[in-house]
This record gives sequence, C-alpha cells and structure tokens, in this order.
Amino acid sequence: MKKLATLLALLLIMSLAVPVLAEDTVTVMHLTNLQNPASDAPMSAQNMGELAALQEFLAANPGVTVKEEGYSDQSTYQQKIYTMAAGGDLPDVFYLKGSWVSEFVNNGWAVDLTSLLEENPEWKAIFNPGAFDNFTRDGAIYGVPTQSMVTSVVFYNAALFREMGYDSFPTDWEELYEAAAKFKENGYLLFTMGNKANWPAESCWLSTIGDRLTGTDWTNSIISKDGTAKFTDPEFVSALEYFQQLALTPGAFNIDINSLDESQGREAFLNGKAGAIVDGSWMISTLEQTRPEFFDDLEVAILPAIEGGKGAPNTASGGPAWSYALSSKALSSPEHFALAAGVLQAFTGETSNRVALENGEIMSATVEFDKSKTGPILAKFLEMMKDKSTVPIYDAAMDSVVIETMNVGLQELLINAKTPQALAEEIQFQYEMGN
Amino acid sequence: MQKDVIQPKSWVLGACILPGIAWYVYVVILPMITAMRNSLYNWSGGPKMTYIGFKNYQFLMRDSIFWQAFRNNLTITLLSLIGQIGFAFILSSLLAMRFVRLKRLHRTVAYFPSTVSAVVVGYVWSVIFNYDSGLLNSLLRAVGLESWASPWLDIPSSIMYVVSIPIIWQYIGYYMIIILAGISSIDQEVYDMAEIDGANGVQRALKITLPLIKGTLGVCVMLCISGNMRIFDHIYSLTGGGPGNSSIVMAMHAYKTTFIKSQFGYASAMSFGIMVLSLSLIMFSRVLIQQPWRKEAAIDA
Amino acid sequence: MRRLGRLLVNLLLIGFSISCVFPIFWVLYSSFKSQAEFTISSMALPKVWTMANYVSVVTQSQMGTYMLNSFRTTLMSVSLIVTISFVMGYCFSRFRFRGRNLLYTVILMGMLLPVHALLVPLYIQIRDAGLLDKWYTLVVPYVGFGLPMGVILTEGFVSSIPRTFEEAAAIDGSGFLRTTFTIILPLTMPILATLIIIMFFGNWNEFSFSLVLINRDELRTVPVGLTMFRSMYRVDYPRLMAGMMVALMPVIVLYFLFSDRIIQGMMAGAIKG
Repeated sequence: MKKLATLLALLLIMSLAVPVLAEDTVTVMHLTNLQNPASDAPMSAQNMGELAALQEFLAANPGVTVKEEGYSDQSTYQQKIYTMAAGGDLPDVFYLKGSWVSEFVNNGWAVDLTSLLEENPEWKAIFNPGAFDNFTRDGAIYGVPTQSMVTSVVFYNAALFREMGYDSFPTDWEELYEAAAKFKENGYLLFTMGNKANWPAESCWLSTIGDRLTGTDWTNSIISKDGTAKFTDPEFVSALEYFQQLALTPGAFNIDINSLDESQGREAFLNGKAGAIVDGSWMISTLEQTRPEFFDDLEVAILPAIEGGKGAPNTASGGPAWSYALSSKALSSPEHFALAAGVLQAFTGETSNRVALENGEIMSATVEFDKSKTGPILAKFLEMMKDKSTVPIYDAAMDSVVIETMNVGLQELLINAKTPQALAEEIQFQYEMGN
Repeated sequence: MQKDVIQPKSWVLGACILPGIAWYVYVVILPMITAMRNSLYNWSGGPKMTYIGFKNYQFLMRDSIFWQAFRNNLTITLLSLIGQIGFAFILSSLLAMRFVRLKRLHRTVAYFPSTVSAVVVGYVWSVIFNYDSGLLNSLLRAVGLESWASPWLDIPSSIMYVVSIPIIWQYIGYYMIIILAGISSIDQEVYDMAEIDGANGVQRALKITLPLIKGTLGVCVMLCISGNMRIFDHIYSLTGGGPGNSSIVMAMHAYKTTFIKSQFGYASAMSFGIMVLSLSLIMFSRVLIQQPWRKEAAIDA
Repeated sequence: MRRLGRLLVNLLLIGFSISCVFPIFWVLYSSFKSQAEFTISSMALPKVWTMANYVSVVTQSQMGTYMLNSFRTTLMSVSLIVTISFVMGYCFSRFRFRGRNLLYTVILMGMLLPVHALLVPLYIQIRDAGLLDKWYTLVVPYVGFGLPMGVILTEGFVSSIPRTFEEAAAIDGSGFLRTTFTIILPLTMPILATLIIIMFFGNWNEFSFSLVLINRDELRTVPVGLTMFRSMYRVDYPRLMAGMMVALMPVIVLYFLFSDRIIQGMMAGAIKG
C-alpha cells in the first residue's frame, strides 16, 4: 500500500514537472470558531489576529500551503488531538493547553522552542514577563502563549449593590457573609455560578482564594514538584474551607450550582436576580456584544482580601492558558521546520497580537495598537487591573490528572458532600501518583 | 447432525457469512486485540510503553470510582429494563386495541425521541429539570406544589433516578418498533380465535403476545443491557457525571481516563472490565429468560 | 367506569405522544429567539420571532456540505448493514455449522465494548491502511459496528418464522439463494424496516468516529459540524438550535414520509397462516 502510494506520488510529481522543494504544506490544528473565512461569521478577536497574520505569512511565502483544521469546542478538540497524538499524527503546528504540557513533553510530542525564541529576540521580547511560565518545563519552553486571561474577575451589578447599601464591591472576605444575608433578605442572590463543566469553581474561584491563603510560592512549588508544598498543607485546606463556608452561606449562591452550564449560570446575573458573578475576562466581549443596556450599572472588581492569608490581597488568577506549539513532525527537514516555525511566529507575532488587541482581546504580548475600538467594559476592566497583578490559574499550570480530581471534588465540596480535608487528601494522592 | 433439506453447500454458506465476518473482524476484533494488548501496559499515548502485566486490572479492582460507576450503570439498566421494554410492550399492546384512537400518530411519534442524538436529548432535559425556569418546576409551581420543586440535577442521592428518566423516555419508541416487528410475525388467526373465545385485550397481550414474542423480548433485553452498560452521551450532557462523581457511569470514567488523564493503558483495561461485566449480566439475564435459539437447539437434539 | 378507563388510557397515550414531539417543537421555536431573549426565558415562546439564526446558519456555516456528507455516509452504511446482516442473520438462525455459537458470542462482544476504547486502535489501523479522511472512510466503522445489532435482530426474527416455508420451497426445487431472496426476504421485511430506521438515525447522529477519522472540513458530518456552533466560553444556543433544525428537518420529513409506509409494511408483512 505504502509503496503504491509512493509510486503514485512520484508519477504525479514527474508528470507535473514542477520544482518540488519550493512547495510545502504546513498542517495546523487549533481551536478557532473560524469556519468559513469567506463569510462574515462572528470571529473571536484572537482568530481575527491569526487570520490577518496568516495572510501576511502566505503572501510572503508563495507556494506554501497552510492546511488548517479547526474546532471551536474544547472537549471536541481535546478528544481529537489526543487521538492524533497517540497515533503519532500530530500536525506541525497545534494549540496546546498549559495543563497538557507535562504530558506532551514526557511523550516527546512537543518540540523544545527555547532556541527558536533565542534566535528571534525581537519576537520573544513582545511577550509579557512570566508569559511563558505555564509552558516551560525544566527551563525549556514548549509553547508560545496567545491570549492572556484573568479567570477571576468579579462582575457586579453596581445599582443592585447600592440598593443593598454597598458603594462598591466588598474588599474584605468576611463582609461577603453579611452581604449574602442582606441580598437574601431582599430576595436576591449575592453570586450566581454555573459549575456543571466543573472547571469554573476551580479556575474562577479557587485559583484566587487559594493564592490568598497559600501565597504564590506554594503554587510554584506544586507546579515545579519540588516536594515542599502539599495539597494537605493547612493553608490550602483552609482555602477550601473558606470557599465551602461561602458556598454554604444562605443567599450566597444559587441552589443549582452544579447543574447549570456557564451560559445558564450567567442568567441570574444578567436578569438582575444576582448581584455578582465571578467569571473570566472572556465574558467581557460577550457582554459588550450582547448586553449593551447593561453597561452603566456594571462594574468590575477582584475577590476580596482574606485576613491572615499568606498571599497578596491585590491579585487575581490570570495569565495565558493556551499556546501554540510545534510537533516533532515539523522536524522532518530543516526547510520544513523553518516554514512551520514561520506559521508559529505568525500566529503569535506582532500582527496577530495587534489585531487581537484592537478587537478587544487581552493578549500575552504587549505591542502598539489602536485603542479607539476598546469597548466600555474592557476599558473599566483594564483600568481596574492597573494596580493588580496576576497569580497562577490552577488549571493552566497544574497537570490535568490533579485538576480533574480537584474539579470533581469541588462540586461535592460546594454542596457539603465532601469535607475540605478529605478533598485535599484526594488531590494530594493523585498528585503523588503523577510524580 | 441430521441431513437438512434446506442446508446449503458449505461453500455457499461460507460465501454468505465470511464477508460480514471479515468486515467485523477488521473493524471490531483487530482493534479489540490491540486494546487488549494495550491494557497490559502503562501507556500515556506516547512512544514509551511499559509492560506491567495485569497491574492495570488489579488497579481496576480497587478503583472505587469505577465500582461506583458500575452501580450507577446497574441502576440505569434495571430501570431501563422495566421502563423501556415494559412501557414499549404496553404501548405495543395498546396499539393493537380497538378503543385506542390515533394509532398511526402514536406509532409514528413514539420513535421521534430516538431520532435525536443523545447529546441533544440530554441538553433538552437539562433545561426541563432546570430549577428556576425548567418545565418540571414550572408545572409543579403552577399546580401549587411549590414545595416539590427541587434542583433535580443537584441532589446526589436521587440523581440516578432523575437521569434515568430521559434515557427511558428516549428509547421507548426504539423498543416499540422492535416489538411491533416481533408481533407482526404472529399469525393473525391466533388473535381472531382468541377473540371468538372471548379473551379481552389484556388477556390477549399476556397470554398470546407475550409468550410468542419471547425471542424478540430476549433480544430487547440484550440490547437494553449492552446499551445501558455503555451509556455515555446522555450523562455527559445532562450532568457531566456530577455532582462530583454521583452520576458517573463506566464509559464516562473510561473516557475521562483516556482523554483527560491520558492513561491509555488503564482505560483499555477498564473497557474490558466493562465488557466482562456486561457479558456476565447478559448471561445472567439469559438464564432468567429462555433464549429462543437454545430452545430450538433443544428441539433439534 | 369502563369508558372512563378507556378515556384515561387514550389521554395517557396522547400525553406520551406530546412529550415525544415537545422537545423538537421546543428546539424549533427557541431557534427563532435571540440569544438575549433565550437567556432570560428559555421555555417561553419567543416574544420577537427572528430569522437571524437561520440566516447565520445558512450563510456562515457549511451545513449543506455536512448534510450531504451525512446523507452519503448514512445511505451507504445502512444499505450495507441491512444486506449483510440479513444474509448473516438468516444463516446463523437456520443452519448449524462448526464454531457457530462461538462466532455468535464474538459478535455479541462487539456490542459490549465502549466505542471510545477502540477509537485510538482503529484510528491507527485505518490510517495505516490509507483509508483515513476519504469520502467513504466512515462507512468502514459504521458497517462494522452496525453488524452485531443487525445480525442479532434478524437472527432472532428468523427463528420465529416456521421452517416449513423453506422446506416446501426446497421440495419444489428452489435453490438456496432463490429461497433466501424470494421467500425469506419478504417475510423478514418487518425487522429489516426496523433495522433501517434504527441504523439510519444511529449513523446520522454518530459523533466519535466522525470526529477522529475525518480531518477535512469538506468531509465532516452533521454532528461534528454542529460542534462548530459552540465556542470555548460561550454557546449561542438559539443559533445552535437553528443549526440542529436545519440538519434535522430533512430527516424528519423523510421519516414521516417513510415511517408510515414502513410501519404499514411491518403490519402487512405479518404472516398469514
């Protein structure tokens, strides 16, 4: 079969009599909601940037074809890429999540990009400090980050909060309990959450609460697996306790926390029945596109400080969760590697970042861009974040085996079906198994 | 074996059976053998595979989530055996009765839910079960049963019963059309004679239809067990296995082990665990209901 | 009292039938809502009916291509499954041969293993055979995984047909193939019709193989195509539902056209002593 294919290919090449070396195909697989480039389909700002950069790349490299395969849904993409990886069929360029990096590195699926970045200092220089952290293992970089997100933004209905007697969002954790009671008294909810997919509780809440109590050094120790930090450390257990106590406070959350998906979870907030929602910065563009009438009353904040915690109070979990990576397929020849690297650079380069930033995405790179299109909520958000810094997002930095146990357990924690101590032990068990 | 007038020459028989068998072996058996081999390795999908013998299976025996999932599968299977096949039989019998109106409509419409993919069915029901705006709670509130309204998908103790409802509902029509096909092979004269003898509808259903479609029902039971032991999409879109792991099923545990934890070797072992459990359950059910080809074999002997 | 009972039974049946069509109606009318309205009330009828979702589905997605692919794949698979299962099921039911029971059990096993377990091995196998990402690729797994059910259903059904039909034909000098196709085939029509319906919708809605074995957008089928209506952090449900309706409508129309005839045939196929 293979011989026949080779023979046919040879015949084809001879009959066409075109110089073969100048032509090459780079394969790409990524998450995109770009289905039909010719249409005016709604496209995320990041995809707009990638499209613009790809067009530049193609214009500069005539004869090169870029074969794109896109999926817009994360679990679909995950099933597809893991099957292809196990079959040894990864495309040259692919989209890599932070929590998959260990797996992809251990299996030799992702190529070390450190020297490529060193050889192109002007490219590397555009990225923000720490942008590569989630994609670095033992000092080697395996992915180039794309959008940067803050996963723990408090969006709140300022009008409703004023009605309840709050000029701004509480800045002390203890106030949340009183606020919940006050909201409940008046027939409202303080927060709403849709945690059916089980990552929001961890990504949007626990990553920040955890840092408030453990401090970032603890998280970094967990990520680097140096053996000093444990999930059973009292600080982490106490983070789980704080989260659980809030979840069990009447009026703090909706009763059906674990059965609503993210979209359904936002309903109560958008309908004015809940005062606030803790969601990612990705919600900004959704709000700006679909809820213009909401702008005046909507304010943004971060989760309150927790007294006695080891972490800084003015932080929110954030950073890049996704990156572009090269597979070992790209190494087939130096010429091919150069082209695949070219596509990688295009997707994460100046044009791509500039267009994405102009269209309201928050990126991991800083480049000059036209701010005239920045929407009102994004402007509020950027203003608010000026004096804040970001701390690691658990599911972007820790291995997926650990995250899976944490996410599943948090669902139970929130409805008092599991104790903080028991959950901490379960996570620690999985963590040790993976080392 | 006695000489059979209708038995064809063996090469004819072979020519009839072999193409199908070959296709089946290529698509199902060969990958199954590969998966069986993988189940003996510690393999995360990459080039490194470590042979570990039966360790994955030993680990499976102690995997509490897997056994919880198995119990959940058993619950769904039992409820479905009663719900899907039971209702389908009642429905098919009712559709044979004179006083029932709109027969053609009922027959056509009952299969409707099965035309929609399980993911869609799961999503639709998750909206029906929604606490604030769902159809179920709205109905309850409308008739003054405010206190019965609950967050149906958030209560671990009853979640398995709740998720079984859409599963049962979707496949009633599916088993109905299989049973209707079975009923159609019954000689109409048998019914006519029974009616002359004064048997009513219920008697006809229980005394004639039921024994005569035993074989078909046996097939239904087998399909029902095999389907529900592998159930995945409904749960995936209804609860994602939650809250926590309270509605997790075996196939979902295997899926997460493959595509989230990328423990390919262990997931393969788990899949064979699922197969063995399902096969035992089917064997057990066969002891309970006599299988038609066994009966025939008994007559042959 | 008896009349009341009968009325009750009729009402229950009507209730059940309504429950069967309701979800499709819900998807239908929800697809005319705007995202904002759907967010506020997901169950109510739309206050403002909008065609925007359909315009978007038709102009911005490849739904037409996906449906064509689904139709082609499904039709090819179903015809092969039905033909092969009929012949195999008949032979299994009627004739004794060595290894029959073992084969039957092996065929049954194919229905017991979760599909995800075979995804990676089958992917590798099909890739090595050079069958990946072709217009006919999906027929390979669909037929393979459809056969067990087809064989088991036909086998069970044929066992309930008395052997006298074939014996009489054999005495009349009819050969094996003639008997099989002119005498047995018409008698098994009811179960084959059932099999056609079940396999049609089963293959039409299949997701995992379609996702894994097809790479090119122009070969994708409807279920994978529909995931394109979801994005990472947000799902525009009304638009997704419009996509579902576009994909579902032709199938439902087909079902209405044929189911009546198929079920009529099923009833008519009943054996007359």
